[in-house]
Amino acid sequence: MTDRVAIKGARGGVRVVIDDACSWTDAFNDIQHQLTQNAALLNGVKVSFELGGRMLAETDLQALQTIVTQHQVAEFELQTDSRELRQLARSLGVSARPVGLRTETRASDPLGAIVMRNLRNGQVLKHHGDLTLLGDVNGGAEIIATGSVVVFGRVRGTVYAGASGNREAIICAIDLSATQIRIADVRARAPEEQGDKFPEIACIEGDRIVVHEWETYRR
Amino acid sequence: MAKVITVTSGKGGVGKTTSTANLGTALAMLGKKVVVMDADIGLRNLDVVMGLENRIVYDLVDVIEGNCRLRQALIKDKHQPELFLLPAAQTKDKDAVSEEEMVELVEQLREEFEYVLIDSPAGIESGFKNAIAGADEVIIVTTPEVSAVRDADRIIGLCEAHEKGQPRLIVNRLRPKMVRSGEMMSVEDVLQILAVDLIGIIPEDEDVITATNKGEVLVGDKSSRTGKCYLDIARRITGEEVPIDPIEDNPSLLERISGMFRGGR
Repeated sequence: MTDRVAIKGARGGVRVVIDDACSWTDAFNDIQHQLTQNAALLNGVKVSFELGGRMLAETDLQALQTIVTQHQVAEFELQTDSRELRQLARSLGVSARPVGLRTETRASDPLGAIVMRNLRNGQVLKHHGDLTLLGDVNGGAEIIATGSVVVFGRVRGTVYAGASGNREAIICAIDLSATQIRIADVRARAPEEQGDKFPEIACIEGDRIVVHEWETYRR
Repeated sequence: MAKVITVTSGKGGVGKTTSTANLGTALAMLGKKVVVMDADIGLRNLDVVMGLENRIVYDLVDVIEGNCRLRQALIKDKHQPELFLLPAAQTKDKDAVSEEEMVELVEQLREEFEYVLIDSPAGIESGFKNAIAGADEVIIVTTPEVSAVRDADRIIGLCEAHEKGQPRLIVNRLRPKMVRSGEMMSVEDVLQILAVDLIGIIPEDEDVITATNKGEVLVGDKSSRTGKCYLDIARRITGEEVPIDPIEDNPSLLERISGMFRGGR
């Protein structure tokens, strides 16, 4: 098992994390090897290649496209800091996103996390994976998570779920009076009129964020 | 062992200086030896509010730079013999002093006084950081309105990050009538957001303006409700348990009548 290329589970698919330091040739060989080894895991699944800031030549990208299709990966995308590479990828019909979230640990915690605190104005809580917060998110505070966010409290600040592109992520709160919420690449603003407070769930439907009352949603 | 308390807020104009002056005076009235320090270098006000500005010879920057001894810079209050003021410098700015220098200065003051009250500047940058550097505890002043509360929340987070413990809160300039009509946040609304302990509530009071302009503090005036509120806070600072006056004045006759037509609240 090499360190150059690591395969990790993620919500809705699989992440292939490629070490920044190695040469592309080495990385490519490892990717081929991993795709073969893990064919069963990757079959029919969406794969996200995390390339960091690395730039690829068009031929390299096409070669990657080829082996990926050969291994019957359903869908794949590139996560890259390089705008050039994103443009190149899109011109070849490959979807590409900027790397959304940089934290010290890149491994996501499959169990999610429960955090018990109030977030005050100016504080930011970042998390890889799903997050449950027992407390309030005050105005001016932010939560940024790659997974879903459940707030057992009041949200008056901003919540960003699915931060690395996961559109399946949801946001729930006992009082979702957030100034802005965001799931993957979709934003929503709180309505001007806020009526009574009740628990709500926000998720992406189609191209928009829809906020449901918990009572009606769970049926 | 002296207690050093910084009075801060984040937002400007909510009553830090007024509170520091009144609380310093109140503690002296309770028999404590107190120094109030103005940490708002460049925009000093504490001296004006206490009516002592024409007695300033040296200021805290002079003490730190060694231009004078600490004693020479301390100004005795006009009314309370055990209350002293250490004024800020007016012709310098906040970079004239570092956090370490502030801590050292506070250590010197601890030897002479039972209470050191530090009047913080508004904001969250170096002036604020200098003001809390030597503090044992922090008191936060806010008014019951959204931007002040928002700023107070930020400050509370910073105090927690600087390991100053949980600050205590003064809600200042409360107008009970506006709270009743729903136009102003109630104290409960403020506490729901800030989630800290309340140390006192002060009503909106025009007499504060008059007193400030005369260089007097209201806590000396026995007939002032505001003065009494400050005195109660001073008592709580010394550890006494004093129930908090919720400042709900009685609805006027007109309010009560229109309340009947509106179906009451």
